[in-house]
Amino acid sequence: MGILKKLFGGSDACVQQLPAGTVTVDRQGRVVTSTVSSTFPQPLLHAIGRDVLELFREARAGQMALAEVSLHFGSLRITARELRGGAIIFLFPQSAMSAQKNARQ
Amino acid sequence: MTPKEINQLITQIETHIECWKQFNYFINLARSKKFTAADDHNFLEIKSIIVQELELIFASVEVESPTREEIHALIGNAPSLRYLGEMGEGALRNLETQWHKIYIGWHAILGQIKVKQRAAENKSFWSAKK
Repeated sequence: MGILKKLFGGSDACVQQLPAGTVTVDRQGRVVTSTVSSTFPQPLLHAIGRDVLELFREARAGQMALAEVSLHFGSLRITARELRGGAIIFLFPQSAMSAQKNARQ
Repeated sequence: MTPKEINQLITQIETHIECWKQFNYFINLARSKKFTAADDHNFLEIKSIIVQELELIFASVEVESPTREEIHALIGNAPSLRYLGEMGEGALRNLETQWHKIYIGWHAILGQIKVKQRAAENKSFWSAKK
């Protein structure tokens, strides 16, 4: 899907903070609402939304009933749920997750 | 409101309704007591999205019911999955009833806007014929 390539593979080398929050996208891939910091580049959010919708579309085309998908990267977890053609996408940096786990122990 | 604006509003409300469905999914998850820290985090995110979308919708259309107060009361009564999981069955049912009233209320609003959409389509059809 190339999500990581889009996140980190820009032509200009720059340190980018991982997105944390949630995005809802409609069936056209437009971002409807977002709790991700507004300092995070919007084109990247759109790219994530488009790729997630594409994933659900491919699953539908393959006749797989996919309601939720969870992608675990080294430092980022992306969980997406289908919303009537659109999707809600939870972006969760793994470091934050570990911090929460530690706090609970 | 232009037909394009009406279409956008319909998409927005449909997305909002889907978020309310997710809210109910989390209530049931809390009832089953089978949830993780990540689920609790996602529940908080769903509530944040609902509250944001609510303001976007209220800015575009006048909604008599559900009211902002009703929605905030429901969300205020559900601070976390852990909290819901510790609630008694009666309190959870009460929460579900509140949710159901709001959920159906949004469908009524969606129906009203679809009526407006149809009227706008008919209007543009007849004006095109003239």
